[in-house]
Amino acid sequence: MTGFVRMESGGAIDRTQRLRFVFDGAPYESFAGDTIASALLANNVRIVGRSFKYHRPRGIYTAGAEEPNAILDLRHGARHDPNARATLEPLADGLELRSIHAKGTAARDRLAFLDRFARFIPAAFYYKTFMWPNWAAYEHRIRSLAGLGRLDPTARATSAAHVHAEVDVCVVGSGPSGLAAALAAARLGKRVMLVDERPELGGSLLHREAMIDGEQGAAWAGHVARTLRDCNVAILRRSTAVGLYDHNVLAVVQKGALSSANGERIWLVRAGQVVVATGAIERPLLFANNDRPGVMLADAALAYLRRYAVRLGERIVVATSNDSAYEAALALRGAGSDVHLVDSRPETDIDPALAASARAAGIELLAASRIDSVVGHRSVEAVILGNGKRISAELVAHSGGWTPSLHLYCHAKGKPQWDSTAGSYRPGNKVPGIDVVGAAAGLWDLDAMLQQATAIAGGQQGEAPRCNDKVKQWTAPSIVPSSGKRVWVDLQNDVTVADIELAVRENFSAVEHLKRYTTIGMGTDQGKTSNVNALAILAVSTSQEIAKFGTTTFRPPYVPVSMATVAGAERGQLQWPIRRLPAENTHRQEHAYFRDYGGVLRPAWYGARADAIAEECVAARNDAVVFDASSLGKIEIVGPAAAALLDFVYYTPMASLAVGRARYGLTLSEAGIVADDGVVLRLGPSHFVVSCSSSHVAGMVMQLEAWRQDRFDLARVFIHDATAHWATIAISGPGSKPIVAGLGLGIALDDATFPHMSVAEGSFGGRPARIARVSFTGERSYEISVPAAVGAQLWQSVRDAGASPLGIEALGVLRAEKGYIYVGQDTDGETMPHDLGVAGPRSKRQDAYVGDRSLFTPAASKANRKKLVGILAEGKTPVPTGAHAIEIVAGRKRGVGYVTSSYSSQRLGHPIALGLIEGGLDRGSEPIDLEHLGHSFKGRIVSPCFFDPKGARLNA
Amino acid sequence: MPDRGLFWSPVPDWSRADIQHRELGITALSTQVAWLVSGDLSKFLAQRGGMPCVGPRDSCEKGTYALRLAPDRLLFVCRDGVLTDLPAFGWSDDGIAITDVSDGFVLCDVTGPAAPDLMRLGASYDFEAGPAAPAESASMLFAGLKVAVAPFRPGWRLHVERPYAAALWHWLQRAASEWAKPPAEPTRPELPLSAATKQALR
Repeated sequence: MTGFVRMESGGAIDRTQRLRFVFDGAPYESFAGDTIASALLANNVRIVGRSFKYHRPRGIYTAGAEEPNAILDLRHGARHDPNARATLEPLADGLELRSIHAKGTAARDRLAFLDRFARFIPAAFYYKTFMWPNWAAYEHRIRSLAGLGRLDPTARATSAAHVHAEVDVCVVGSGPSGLAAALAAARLGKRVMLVDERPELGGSLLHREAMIDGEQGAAWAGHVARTLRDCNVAILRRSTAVGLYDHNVLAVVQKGALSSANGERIWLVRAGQVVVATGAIERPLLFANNDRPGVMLADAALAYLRRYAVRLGERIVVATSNDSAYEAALALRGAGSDVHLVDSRPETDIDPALAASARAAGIELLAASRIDSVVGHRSVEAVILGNGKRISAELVAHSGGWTPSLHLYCHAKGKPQWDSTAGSYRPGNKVPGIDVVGAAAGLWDLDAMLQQATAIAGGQQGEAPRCNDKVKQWTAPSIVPSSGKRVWVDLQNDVTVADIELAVRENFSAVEHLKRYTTIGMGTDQGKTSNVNALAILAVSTSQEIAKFGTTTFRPPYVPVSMATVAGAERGQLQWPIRRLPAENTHRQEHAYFRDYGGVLRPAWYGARADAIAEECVAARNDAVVFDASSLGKIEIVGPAAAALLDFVYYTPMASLAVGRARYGLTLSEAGIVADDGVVLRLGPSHFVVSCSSSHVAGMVMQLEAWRQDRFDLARVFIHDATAHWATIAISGPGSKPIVAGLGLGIALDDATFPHMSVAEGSFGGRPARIARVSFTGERSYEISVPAAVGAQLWQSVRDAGASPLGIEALGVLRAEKGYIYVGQDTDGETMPHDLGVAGPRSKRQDAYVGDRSLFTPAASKANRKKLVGILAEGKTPVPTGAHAIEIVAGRKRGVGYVTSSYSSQRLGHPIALGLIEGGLDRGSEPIDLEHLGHSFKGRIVSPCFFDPKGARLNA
Repeated sequence: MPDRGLFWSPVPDWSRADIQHRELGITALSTQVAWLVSGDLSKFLAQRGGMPCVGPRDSCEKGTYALRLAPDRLLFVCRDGVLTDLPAFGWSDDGIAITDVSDGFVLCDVTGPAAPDLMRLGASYDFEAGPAAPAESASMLFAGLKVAVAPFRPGWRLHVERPYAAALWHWLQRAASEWAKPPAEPTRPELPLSAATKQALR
């Protein structure tokens, strides 16, 4: 029997539960408890993908998150994952799996021929080759060859809402150190969360031998897991801590969440203490053709044997530079394989007991030896040692030492330091609230790990689990120059030793430059198996110490996270919640056509008629219309210093406003730029209401509050945003007064008592009502504000009285006819009040107000500032909003401004526009050329007020 | 441009809005008295019988309560019709500013064994730790919206401004649907396999 086979017994799989799946179109069976990787191996599937650039056949390389090769396209019911990591993904019945990178299947890839041209396409060949005529000429074709998994636009995966959790201690990793830390913290009564990426707790204890507190490691882990559960420790299985952020916030991606359509959910965990017990990642040895299917890390081979009962061939070569691979060699030999153990260390440096146990088990131990190259194309056939000896093999299991997994520590601004004795990076500076324990901290002695983890979690001396196992340290990676052979450093990005040597020759010898030049450390595995070897090669190539290079920057996420999972529940209506009007459902009954205006869902027009907007304009000018203005601000300024605060915040003086009166005003930024416009109502000596633009309510509240806290007596003025409390229904038009009179508001409506720009308080339907005579249409208007619950009732009463509904699009036309501006549309980031023709306060006010100094700078006083004008376009077609005004200077076109609003005016019978044009009305009524996207228009500058310039209709 | 009214669900009828699942109940209320109160808060609270001003982890009664929003601001809430002594809104010589916002809020009562889990979906806040710090505000980001949270035992009341109440309700419906699903089936469900997969597995 040859090949990879499932053993008849052993492993943590459920042989009673058979699962069917498909890989690259071929059906397979395996067992519950398998990962996809173990199931493929048990079915003797050697080639699971193709390499990124050269399309070389690739097999399963690891058994964890660091896997560079076994990235598959996964479909399961509605779920689609284009980059599923086969080593972590549990097998499920009905999985549809496809290899990525391959044209065809992984085993039969039509692009495999590319490897023959490898010498012509080394690292960075893109940058050198595709420069003529330009990159864009090649980009489409190259991108179609490159990339990892491909998104399916028809797949609409949704994920669950994010969960927030607060704990005293969050332990990441459930290996021996993580379990010891969680146990110690739980015993102290702390609120503890334990996070692990696998379904079972135990980490390396699940496949490596250890005796802890007199129990086998796996049994001890199970025992501790039960204790933790009894102590109410929150245990998140199949969950990966992908990022560690400021204030100890951990982002954890949980897989297998039942309530999530794509099976994933993000936990945002705030922890008083984060214990990073993420272990270490085995480091590959470097030899020629070390990417062939059947070359695997030694610890992975051990895991597949012990956890999944997969025997990886009859003839196995285990190559190592350290003690840790001996356990793998012994276990593989124990499973009946013929094992050669190739140890790069001289016999004198090898633990005699280990050497003896290997030889006693029938393993041929070759000390002071190393693999030169692997023979075989689609699978391993043999290895050639440095001395030329050939050993037949189906599997090469290798170990070049271990690299502490410090990603989370680095996310939190931890700086790893190179430990030349251990040949690895270790945590450097202490990061407050974060403790790194166990192998992640560079500890390799299991007993020391347990002691350290217990102490860090607050446990007392003597509480730590005890263990007698000792693991010997190893030396720094020994790197042999490529000598023309193809030795892979980064399997996912197809980077060889020769590529790194080339980068160094071209002076890309800083670690960050090396990464960009070669792409090493990029991709979905982020160089988890390649970074340290790359640094070692860099060191050899530049004759420097590894410590001088540092590492590239580790950024979240630790493993890829789908955008659907990041979005969580915030999609569709929850992605960007919008403000809703109190009478929205009434507008729906009126067949309103809705649009989003400044974060508010508002009726654009009513009915499905093509000329609905024009009809609404006509009704406003001739009869009476009703408009829902509920989203306008109703910010109350209360207290003895209210007038002073408003006087300071507004460009237009407000302290002189009489009780019962209203005044239009502008607010400015400190740079003197117009920030908002609106109406201020005075209800009492110490009581004002700011009715600002709908989209500026939150900003206005913040601005008022900021100035209040900056320079006013905090006990004498207060800001209350009551916008949400009120529904505001505006009735406008020459026929508005009798309609308002019919509402029985309890106020006098004659113009002497209640003139334009005044406010009164009455009642409607037994609830308070505030009535203001302000107008944004240029017609006689009444804005009636009532508590939101009776807004729809008021709307209906007005409609019943004969007013027709007015949408915001028609309002836009009506206000433009009057030259009334929308701040933000008819103003820009340079517009000052005098550019709008509101120059009085600038010239008259002597007191301080926001933005005052900025109004007198040389730039603010220039004659050719862009100023608000009206533009009469020739012809019947409105000029597009955004069209640029052009003048010819020295034979060249020069922009002198642009159109800010443009409409077809039914009332005036011609198009009208507002614009910001250099010099404004000082240009006189001169013709002006306008251009928009290649089209030319002609117009004439006029006053921005096109209709009723004397305002007679406000009292009509 | 499409009619955005088709994208956004209509605003619920708050008098009947209700979500009931196995371990979770959410009921909306919109008819309460609510005032924003600023200034001399101790004097205001003394005038109201010495009631406490609570934060999101304190305990309060549903009848009448005051929620701390800012150092000098609270939200006073009571059942409609309870009060007989309505104040003059605006400024008073006691140094207190009061604004009626009764119609400005929609209230959502969250109850049931799953209520703590739902609250954990909404906010990065430890609702079940000990009493709130003395200055802790009841106003927080919940479901991405500004919400004032009042703690009742057992359960919470969420106060959201009316314009955003539909968004909160939509979020609550979606979040609560996690408790609407039946327990995970012990047997494997039939999966909608593609034709190619069915052929391969045949």
